Amino acid sequence: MTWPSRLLALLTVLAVAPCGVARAVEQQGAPPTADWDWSGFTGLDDTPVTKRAGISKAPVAAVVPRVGETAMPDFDAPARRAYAVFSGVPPFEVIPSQRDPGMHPCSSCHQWVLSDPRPRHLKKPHDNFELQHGLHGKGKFWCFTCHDLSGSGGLKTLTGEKLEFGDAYLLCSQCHVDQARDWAYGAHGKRAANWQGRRQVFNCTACHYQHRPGIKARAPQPGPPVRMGLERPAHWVAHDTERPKVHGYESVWQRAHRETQAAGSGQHTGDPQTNPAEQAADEKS
Amino acid sequence: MKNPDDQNDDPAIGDMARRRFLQGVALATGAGALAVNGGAWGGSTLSDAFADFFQQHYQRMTEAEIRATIERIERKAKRRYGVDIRVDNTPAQEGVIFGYAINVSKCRGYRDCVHACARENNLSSDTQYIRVIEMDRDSTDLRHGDHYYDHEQVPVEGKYYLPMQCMQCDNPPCVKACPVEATWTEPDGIVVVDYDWCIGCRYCMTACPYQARHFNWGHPDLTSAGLNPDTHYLGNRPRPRGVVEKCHFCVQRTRKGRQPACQEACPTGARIFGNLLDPDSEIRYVLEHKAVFRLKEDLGTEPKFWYFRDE
Repeated sequence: MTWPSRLLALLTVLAVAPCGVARAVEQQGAPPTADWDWSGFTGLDDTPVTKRAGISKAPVAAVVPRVGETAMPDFDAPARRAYAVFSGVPPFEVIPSQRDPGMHPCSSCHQWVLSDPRPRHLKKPHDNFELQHGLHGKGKFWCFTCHDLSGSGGLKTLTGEKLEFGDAYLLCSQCHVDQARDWAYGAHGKRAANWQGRRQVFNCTACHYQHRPGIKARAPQPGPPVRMGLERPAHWVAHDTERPKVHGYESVWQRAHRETQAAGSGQHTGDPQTNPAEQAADEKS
Repeated sequence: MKNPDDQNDDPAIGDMARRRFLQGVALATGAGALAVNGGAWGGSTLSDAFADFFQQHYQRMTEAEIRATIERIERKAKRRYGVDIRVDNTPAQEGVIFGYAINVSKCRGYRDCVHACARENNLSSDTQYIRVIEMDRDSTDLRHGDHYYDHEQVPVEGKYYLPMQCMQCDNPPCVKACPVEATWTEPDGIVVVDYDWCIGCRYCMTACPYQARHFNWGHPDLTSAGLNPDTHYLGNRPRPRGVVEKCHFCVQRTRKGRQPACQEACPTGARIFGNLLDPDSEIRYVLEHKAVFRLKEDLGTEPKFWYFRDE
């Protein structure tokens, strides 16, 4: 089957889907198997996913889910015994990740809807992320590097071995060998609840959002208070602002002073939207 | 090493006899004071107030005395905060010495550990056991570190984050500095404080090279809602005013096999805790396979708290 005819089939399926599921299946023919024709696959070039021809640069980042939203640990589900692929590791269990129930199993849609393996700007319902995984976010991967739509759907290794979603760590360990070994022995990743007894560790996807594994910066919790009785009097603050910023940024006292000054002169430079670099430039000028 | 005299349970010998005598004198004095000044016991009963006054050092108390003391502490907390706390007295486990390791490559300075610790350990709002120090990249000079950092987002480019708390030294200078032996090393390696024996001289704070000890300048400003009722005698029970406290590896949790609160709260998995004597433990893997270092190692304090980086 050539790609245009495949697309035609997909369009037909979409067009007739409201008319009746049975009819759609009939028109599509056999469900897709794992034996894809990879000749048309362009996922392994150097062009970033967002810069390839035909891919819109629409701001998909705005709908990227927060890390943790799609892969919260599912504490209610029974922990899975880890595969013994790491020789010599003391036995441990992996806490499965909680999946978006609307999206699983894949076969609930993909038994009728043919999937398009070409890298492109994703449409609904797969438009809630931008794939930034593989060689520093340059998009070396496409969906079917890791996803397998045969059967009810799941994951597959590079050699085509089928995996459950809960065994994502096996998939990750194909490339991230050092991290996987450290994870299995407890130097990477996170153990839940106890230091003694049953060792239950979080799956890779509990911390790393699988489609964009880098951990994002976020605001810190509030800093330590000044000890009781040690609140600095006003002239100390003024004095402190005279001090050169040896650490490259201002202290809480300098910042408090700056904000007080800014509030007095009608300018509030402490706006959270302001770029810290711009703030520093303001301070110098 | 403990002084063998400390283990002496014979009340007829030395300071014990003197203590008994002083107790008798003080009892009589106290009774006299009560007659003059009726409600001076802070809502406590007379017997509780006396028992508080004559409370022994934790290590010298018998089982029954400890039980009575714990009940008294629970009554005091109920009076003060209106909360039924459970003061635990779980001893150290056999064959366990706790150790801690932090992956500085993973720490991102979120300070989640700091606040989880404060909640777990009933800290007053002016005290935090954990200090997350923002350090210049390629520098280990603690003098240029800043733990008051206050950015919109962390981590900041060119910085790394070094959490510091009590190192539970194997050769603790604070213990040597204490003039009343109110602080000591437990068999599982945790340096603890008997808050009721501490006289608040703060010598230990001066002796500690890691600034890990904190003084209660006032009564801890705990709220009934925020009070953690699961406490340990040597751990997070509500402290009185004027005593020194410090991180105790969450003794109320870790002696029951749970993780310390800071490790449980860490969102990046930078904290690794475990039994140094168990060759299968995570901490042992880290110590054997990573290039670990300790802070101010040249002082010979032998901290049981290591740092390492991802290669």
